[in-house]
Amino acid sequence: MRFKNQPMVSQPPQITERFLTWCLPTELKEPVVGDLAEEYSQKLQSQDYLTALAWYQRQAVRTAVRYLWQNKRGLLMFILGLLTFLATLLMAIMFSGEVGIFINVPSILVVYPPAIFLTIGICSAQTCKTALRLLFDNELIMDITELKAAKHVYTILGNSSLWLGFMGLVIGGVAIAIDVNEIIEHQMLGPAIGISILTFMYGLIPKVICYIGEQKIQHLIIQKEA
Amino acid sequence: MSEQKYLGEFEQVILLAVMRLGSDAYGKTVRELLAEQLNRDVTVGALYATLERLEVKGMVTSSMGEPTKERGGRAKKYFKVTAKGQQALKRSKDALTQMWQGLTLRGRGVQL
Repeated sequence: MRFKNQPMVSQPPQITERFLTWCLPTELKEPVVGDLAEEYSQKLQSQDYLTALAWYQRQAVRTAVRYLWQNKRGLLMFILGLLTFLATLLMAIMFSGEVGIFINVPSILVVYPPAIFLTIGICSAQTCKTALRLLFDNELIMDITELKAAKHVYTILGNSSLWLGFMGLVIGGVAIAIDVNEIIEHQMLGPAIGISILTFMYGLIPKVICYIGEQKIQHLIIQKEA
Repeated sequence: MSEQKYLGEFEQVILLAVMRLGSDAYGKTVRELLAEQLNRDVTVGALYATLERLEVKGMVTSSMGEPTKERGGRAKKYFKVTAKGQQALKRSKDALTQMWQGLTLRGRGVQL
């Protein structure tokens, strides 16, 4: 029997199924997701589509939540740490006055594009992609050489950003020194120094984030070596 | 005093369900049996967490079946109660029987 609002395909909702699969440990992915798919398909034969869908969502979400903390604890703590860092940074910026004074497009362009291009140039786009995936996927199976290559991505990105930021600070300092009399005359010394330091700050932020990424991969390397 | 611990109520229920189902004991059938016999709606997560725990304790063993179409090409995981599991069940049953001996419930609506 097919109900009026029942779709032709008896596949479970893809997003929920993917989320559940992601949360489950490898050995339970197949049996748990399979059991739910089988029962969902049976329920569609005897129940309204929405009832069956609600049943599936409830079962999948409860199961996912049960395994999420157990299986993805490292990732959740990593994201929490990252969010706390960014929130604290944002809060400090907001408390210090206008948010706009912390945004300077030329300074951003001095630091980020060259750092990213340098990293991709040295490590290859594929290694960069893998390094990024490693932060959010604990189940990636990699050998020590691949892990070290991924760690290298964060070392290069972090250090390039930091040095480019420092370079921006020095260039700003030189520019101020050359025109110091004129800058003082126009009462622009404060903003000029501010922009120089801002470039350095833009370099420091990715350095901190990359340091976290580096240490996360280093931990995986230590685990592999043990 | 015995060093061996007794099974929890849910563990006992699951082991008994697996035994009742015999060669057809996998997640979905165990859940269905619990719903039919005990009117108990168990989430898949709770069921597999307990089965995993029992497997670690050596009370059940599992084996993967063939993938089927209605499961989206995914295999079933069949469970079987081991001799250790059966001993644990008997121990828990004996303990309960022992504790129930000579006891009469007198509350309203609870008569043995």
